[in-house]
Amino acid sequence: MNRQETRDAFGGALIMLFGAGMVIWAYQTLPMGSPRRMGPGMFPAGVGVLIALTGLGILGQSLWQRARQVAVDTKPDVNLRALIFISAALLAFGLMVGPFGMIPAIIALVCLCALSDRDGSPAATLVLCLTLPVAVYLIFKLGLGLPMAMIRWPF
Amino acid sequence: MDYFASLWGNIVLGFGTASSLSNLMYCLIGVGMGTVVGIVPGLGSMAAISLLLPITFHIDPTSALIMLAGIWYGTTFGGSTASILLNLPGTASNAVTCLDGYPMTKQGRGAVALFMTTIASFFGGSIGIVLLMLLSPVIAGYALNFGSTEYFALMVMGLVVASSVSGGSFLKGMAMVLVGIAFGTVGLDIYTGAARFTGGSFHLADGIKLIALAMGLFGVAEIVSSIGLVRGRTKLPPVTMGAMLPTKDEARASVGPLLRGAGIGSFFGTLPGTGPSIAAFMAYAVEKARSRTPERFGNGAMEGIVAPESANNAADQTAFIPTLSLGIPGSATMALMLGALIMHGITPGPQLIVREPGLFWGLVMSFWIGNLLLLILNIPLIGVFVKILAVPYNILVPIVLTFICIGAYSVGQVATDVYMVLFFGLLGYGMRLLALPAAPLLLGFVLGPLMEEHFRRSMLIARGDAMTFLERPISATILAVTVAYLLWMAVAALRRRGQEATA
Repeated sequence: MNRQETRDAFGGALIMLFGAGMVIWAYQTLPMGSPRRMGPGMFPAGVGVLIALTGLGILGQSLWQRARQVAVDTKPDVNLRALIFISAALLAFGLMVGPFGMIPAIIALVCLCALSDRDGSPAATLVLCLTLPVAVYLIFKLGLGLPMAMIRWPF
Repeated sequence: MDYFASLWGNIVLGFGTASSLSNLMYCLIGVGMGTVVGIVPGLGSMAAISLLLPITFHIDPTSALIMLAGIWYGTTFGGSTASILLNLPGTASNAVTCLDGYPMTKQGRGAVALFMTTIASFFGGSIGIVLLMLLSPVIAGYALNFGSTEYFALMVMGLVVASSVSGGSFLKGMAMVLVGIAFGTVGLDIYTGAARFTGGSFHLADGIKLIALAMGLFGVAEIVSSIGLVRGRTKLPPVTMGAMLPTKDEARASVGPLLRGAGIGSFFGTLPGTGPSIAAFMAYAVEKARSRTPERFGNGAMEGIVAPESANNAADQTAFIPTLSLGIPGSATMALMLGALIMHGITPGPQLIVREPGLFWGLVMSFWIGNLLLLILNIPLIGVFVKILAVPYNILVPIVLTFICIGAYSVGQVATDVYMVLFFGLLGYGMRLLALPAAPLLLGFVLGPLMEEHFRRSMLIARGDAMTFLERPISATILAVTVAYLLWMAVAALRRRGQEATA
């Protein structure tokens, strides 16, 4: 996957699948109607066809370039650690904000964020855990008047 | 004289709206935030606007737009600072300013450079606003005769051109526009009420939320890919400010570049897909080509910072012309502005200026206030803003992420919206790895539902005959221009490839 054309071929294939999937899904669940009086499925199916075609185009272009060896090597930097912990932080916020309220959700998010980088400092995380909920309370609850439970006891 | 009389009336009306205390405050928040975001490299106006989008849900649409627009032009204003002092372009549109701005800092003339770019930004912005005020009502008045067929053609042209210019391969841009349109079809069908692609979820019946899509694609994806890139604190070089005022000769030599920059910027700002980055680059190229001493460029030539900064700020303002007078956004940022309007139930299009004069003129007049505020913020307070660069990245990440989560959650008080942000964040990160551009996706997402509506209405009126798009003269012209443009693109690409093969 180091070469740009290989990634383009992969991307093109994914886009093609996306388009094809959309067409199939539209055909199976939605009426097409007639050109004069279009059903809800006609426009999405058309878009799906175009997506599949552009995907095919990208795939073809990358294979052609690959054969001609024009592009140079570029290595993508997949930061797996950041990806996992940032996702976990969002997930934790979503899971906790309902039953426990805003403050526990923010603390969970901050702590998981700290793990996303090997430079994460415990002191900075502690300070953020203490100050961020206060700032959020001041800005969103007092300032903008949004209805939000800061803390909740589900049991 | 009628035109000028009504223009004057509108100016008074707009100024009244823009100078209300709350609108002044939102304008200040917008330009302040924009300046900060512009200075911090890696944080773009897209991320900042996405971040504040949920807040606009809870305030009046005029204030919302004033604030979002303030971020947009404030970013360009502030971005020049980082370019000049640190050789780090805050945003893409300020990248050219590094070439001559940073050498000036090294020569101890950083303060002159900052002063002159601020003046240039203000000047370019002003020209852009004047054009916006003069042209928008005229264009909108003309476009009022447009029917659905013309609109559909116009949107096709806007999307095709925007996705091809925004960098990278045309096919990739086009594919992402279409994927955006696809995401836009999720939810209840406007004509029949059928649930499309919801998988039976009630939550998806309202469609995918713009807020979740924008914050995921431009906020979360940005965060994940920037973690680890910036290590520790940014080292600030010793900034020797020196005297702020330019010499008389420098001031005189800057007048031409200022004017040309504003002209170039105003032109490229209105075109779909080009925008401030290309405007700044073109303005720099023109000055260098015109100069009798091109060797000074790259070594601290005043023209080299004045012209691009005048151009990118002018482009920032004229980008609103097609967005507000036709409802056709030329860039993803403009699409977000329209998205904010749509969230408030306001339909973008040529009726906007007539139906919502307070909103349009209030917004336009707020640009004057915003530019003045930026002048005040940027010249004396620059030292304060530069300190923001010293904030370590690992403190910024949790703060930004918290705002994203609260923003997503606060709109409907459901955790599902937070998971949607996560979904689009993962999608955005994957797209980055595959070098697929995210901006066209957003553009397609915002315009998709409007396109479908106009397409289906045109077909209904034409009794199912797709030839209607080629039989109506305006729509036929627009589509012909689009096809000609596509052919030109294809020929240019083939020629490039031919040169590579012979080289």
